[in-house]
Amino acid sequence: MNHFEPEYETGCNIMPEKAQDPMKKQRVTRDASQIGVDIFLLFRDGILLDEAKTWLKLYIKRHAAKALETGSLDNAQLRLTHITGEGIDAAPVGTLFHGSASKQSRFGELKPNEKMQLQLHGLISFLLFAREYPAIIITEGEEIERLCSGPDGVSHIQDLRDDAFIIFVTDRKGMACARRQQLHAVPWEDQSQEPVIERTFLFNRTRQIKGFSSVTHEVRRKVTSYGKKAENRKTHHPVLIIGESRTGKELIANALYRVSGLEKGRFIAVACGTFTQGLLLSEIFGYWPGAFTSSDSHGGMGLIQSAAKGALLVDDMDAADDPAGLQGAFLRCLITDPPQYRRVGARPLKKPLSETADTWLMFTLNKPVREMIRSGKLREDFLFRFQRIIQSPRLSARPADIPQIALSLWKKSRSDGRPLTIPTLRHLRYLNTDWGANAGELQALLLLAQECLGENKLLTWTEAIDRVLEKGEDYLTWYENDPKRPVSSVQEPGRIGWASEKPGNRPLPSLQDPKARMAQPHIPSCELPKNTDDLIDVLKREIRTRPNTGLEIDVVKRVYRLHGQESVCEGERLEKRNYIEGYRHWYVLGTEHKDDADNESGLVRLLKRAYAEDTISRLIQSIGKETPSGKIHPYKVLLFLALHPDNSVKRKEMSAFLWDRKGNKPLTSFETHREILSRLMGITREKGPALRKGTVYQNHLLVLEYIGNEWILRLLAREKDISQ
Amino acid sequence: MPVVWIVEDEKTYREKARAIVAHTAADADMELHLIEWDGHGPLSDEQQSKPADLVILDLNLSHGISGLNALRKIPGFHNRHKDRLHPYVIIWSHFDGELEVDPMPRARDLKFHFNPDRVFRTYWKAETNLETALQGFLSRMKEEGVYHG
Repeated sequence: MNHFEPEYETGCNIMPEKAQDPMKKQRVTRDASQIGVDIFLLFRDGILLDEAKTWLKLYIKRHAAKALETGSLDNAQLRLTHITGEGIDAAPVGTLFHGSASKQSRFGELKPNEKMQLQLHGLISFLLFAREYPAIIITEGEEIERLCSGPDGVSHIQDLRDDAFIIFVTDRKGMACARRQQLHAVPWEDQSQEPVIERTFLFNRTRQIKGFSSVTHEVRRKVTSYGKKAENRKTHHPVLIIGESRTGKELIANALYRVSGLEKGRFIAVACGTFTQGLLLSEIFGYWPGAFTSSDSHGGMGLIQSAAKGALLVDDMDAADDPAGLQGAFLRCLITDPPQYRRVGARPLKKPLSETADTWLMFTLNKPVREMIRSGKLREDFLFRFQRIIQSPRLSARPADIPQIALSLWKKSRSDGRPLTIPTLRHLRYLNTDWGANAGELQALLLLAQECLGENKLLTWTEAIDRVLEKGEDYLTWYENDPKRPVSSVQEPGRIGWASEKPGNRPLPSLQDPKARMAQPHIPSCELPKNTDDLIDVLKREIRTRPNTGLEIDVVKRVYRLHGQESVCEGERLEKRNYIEGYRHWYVLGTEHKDDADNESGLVRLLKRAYAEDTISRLIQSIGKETPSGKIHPYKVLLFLALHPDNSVKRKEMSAFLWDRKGNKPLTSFETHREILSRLMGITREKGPALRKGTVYQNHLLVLEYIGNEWILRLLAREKDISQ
Repeated sequence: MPVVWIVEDEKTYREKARAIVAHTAADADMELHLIEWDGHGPLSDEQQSKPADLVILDLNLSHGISGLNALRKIPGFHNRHKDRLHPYVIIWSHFDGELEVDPMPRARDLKFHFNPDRVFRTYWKAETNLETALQGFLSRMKEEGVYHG
């Protein structure tokens, strides 16, 4: 069936002679835009009807003509696909068009990957979830009905309706059906193909904006109508783009720049948050020599001038120090056309007081306008100077675009990962209709899921995505290693260990009061009892009842400090260090005192107090002597804490405790960790079970023993009654 | 119907693998086409006509044949192109000391491009045994879709 050979390899010589020269000029911008349309010929018996043929021929002719007009016939690719009852083929265009029509245009073929997806999941899924170009479907009425009913019982009519770039070309019966279902359809008797041509070229001109939904289509329409060619455009109407962050404001600005044919000039974007406001103004408008201290003696050209004949995007106006002031600075250049501005330090007589630059100004805002006006951050007179305002729609307003956006994000982010398939894209699309995420969060979701997939090859994409979502929307939870704990215990101050101890002493914030609840920090730091013994009681209770390492260490710190002040040594400290290797925080026992031994035997004393006698009786037997010879490295003790039977400590957390104090290097990998443990375990290494990766030791006790001048660590199975 | 090849020279292990595949597929509610091969005999016409979707491979075949060399004869691995996805491979090491005998060759020694995402090796006493690997790959096949060979 495959009579047709793609001709784009031997591109130049089949071009007609006249078109050679302008084409060569365009070769520079060859990759800039590829004009592509997918045409599906959907005939169950495999025979093209004559009307369809004539329509197709005409379309190809016009497409080529339009592409020539746009100036890049080189990439005007039409991909014809013939779907019959038997299978999917590249359409037999070679036999269809012997004449000049086939030579003037360029035909492509679906990529093998796309073809496979189309075969496996059917046309409708392919159209809705995996297509990258506008699609024209030439078919009969019955086929439309069959498409609408859906292959697997699930009807996607709403999505089909919403899609602005699926165009049906049918007979009369099909038209009736399409009208009933409110689909985009054109009768094939109709010889004027302008609407179809317009639409496909509209899409290809604004290709940076992803998605096919009607909401996005509106944006595309605005972009093309605002960005007419410079010669058609009498005035430089400045453009204001409003939308939340990561909804594609800059993409829209870029599309405007490309559509309007300003490629001769530059596209320059300034983010207002980057400089202080005075500096920003001198950056944008430029300055004359001596305008300020250390100004260049030749003066400086402003960005507005260096973007002349191009476009200047002033990004995130609301992030500036004084947004209203910044808007005031632009007021004058917004009314004059071309924009007239004044450099910093311009004086009459010597320098031109005001200059003009042929620059198209664009501004973006990422806060709601009404709120900004109300809070005085947006001047109304600034807003009124715009005739052209584009709202960048949120992702939740156009869920049908999620597959396309995900695909493009995926292609941009990394190419060697597991490919996104139609079921995955469909899963993303129907994930949650009121998903408040933006493109950035979508990207994060994909990357995190990719990490899951890398860790576990046997996982599928949808499983990985679900796993990521399970972990929660809070991005930070990925980097915290807290064992799972019920939300209520974090927020309710009443449930924290010692709060119930002496409730009369301080007023408990009421649980109903949200402010008080918010004010209560996660690790309580201010309300510990003063007395050391009470504190140790708290610690005991905490360690036995609640597996919360953060809290334990906090309390240990306190005990240690108090104790140290009293009897051991003043130089001891337990530091809290932040943000190392992705751990939110972790603790180091350190000392400023040189003689470690005594300090650390003080720690033994502390341990003796902190734990129940029976838990550490063996420990005490062997290390209880508080002599200088009984050296314990602090990290061993912390390890002991971490592996305490009542803790379920994750691997990462454990290795965070293991910190090589001498070489300033964190021992974070489990391998190093295991190596240390086995070194510590010494002779008993063969006897006890080896520590295994990824396991949580809940029912085991890690015991340090001092035998024969050597520290030995052993893993013991825990008896059940210890906690009682 | 997805095609699963079992490449194994010893009869007992072959039967064991067949049983595991059968009940895993039943659990996953999938119909499979099972093809067994001892790794050195000629391929029959039926075997030739069934390109693999998943291969359960023994590394240490008799007659001194490495399983990875045998793999090259299986239909579905002919395409050496880097971009094309080859069938899933589970390298199955049942314990008879062959971990030491036949270690995994380095990537550059292989004659074709292995996609590490699609190859899984089970080790003796490892957490992932043949069954879990099968479960994972079958669910992936279900999601990604499979050629009907």
